[in-house]
Amino acid sequence: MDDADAIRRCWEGDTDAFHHVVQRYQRRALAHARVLTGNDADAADAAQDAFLDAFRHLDRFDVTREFYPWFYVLLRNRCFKHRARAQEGSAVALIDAAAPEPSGSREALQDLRRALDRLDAGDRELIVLKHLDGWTYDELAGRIGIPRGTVMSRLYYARQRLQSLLLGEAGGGG
Amino acid sequence: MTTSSRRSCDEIRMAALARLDGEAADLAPSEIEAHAMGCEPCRTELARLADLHRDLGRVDYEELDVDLWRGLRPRLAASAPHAPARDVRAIVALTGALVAWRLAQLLLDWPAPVVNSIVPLALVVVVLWRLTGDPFAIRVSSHQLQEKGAS
Repeated sequence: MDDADAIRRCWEGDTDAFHHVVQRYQRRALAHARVLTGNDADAADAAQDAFLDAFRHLDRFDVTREFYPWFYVLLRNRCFKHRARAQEGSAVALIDAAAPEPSGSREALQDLRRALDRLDAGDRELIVLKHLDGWTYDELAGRIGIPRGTVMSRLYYARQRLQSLLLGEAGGGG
Repeated sequence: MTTSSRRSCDEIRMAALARLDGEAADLAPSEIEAHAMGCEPCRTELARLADLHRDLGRVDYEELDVDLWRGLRPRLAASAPHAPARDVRAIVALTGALVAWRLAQLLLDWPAPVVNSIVPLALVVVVLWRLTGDPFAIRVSSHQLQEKGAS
């Protein structure tokens, strides 16, 4: 079953067909939600709420298009609401506290993750979507709702701030 | 460094990063290179940003192992979605067909009296069929079935 079949079945009242959609996208949704909310609990709540929003508004979804870009807008809204409620909780977006001790180049990678976690959520979102998900400037512009030129400048300044944090990490030892 | 030259440096760096991202930039590569050749701060910054760009390519998500379906399923039950504007489309089609039929009657003085009654009725049945499934089906609730089984 593909997404379009599952969604058509949902339209016909088969609620369980939505399981296919959730199963297919929950991993990506949770990862993005964690980047946006900054913690696991809010990420799970926001992702679940976003899937519920998607289900309720499936009648507005055009089955000839991809599901995730449409869903991402809902997810993003939910994450911002959860983040506002959580009032800047502890940021553990891309790093697992129980991760093994880093060494050599892994240490540099760990520094980078730490620096990413300390970035403002808006900067982190752009960098993650660009570098981890490989979205193009046009995709970012469409899905975040800003002009392409703004994507370019915001990405530039976000990476500069990340660079500054990294230099701080290296200088201050994290 | 003046404000205008700083702005110019930002433009150069932004364009260079866009190229690193595989995107079209407003400035030509030769213009970026020419600027970088004569601007030590830009050379340093671009080298750092290129390293960062490379390192970011090695970062991946930490997995968050949560099954959302378990909590989601009970919440979905009360939120069944509808097919997009299916009802509206069917009703508009019915209205159009009935109006066309009536116009044909008036203008052409064409069908026999029995057909005059049957065709609109048939159209209504077809639309009802499309909207609700079989309109003649007898629907029995599970509650009624249980009662029947008990008796």
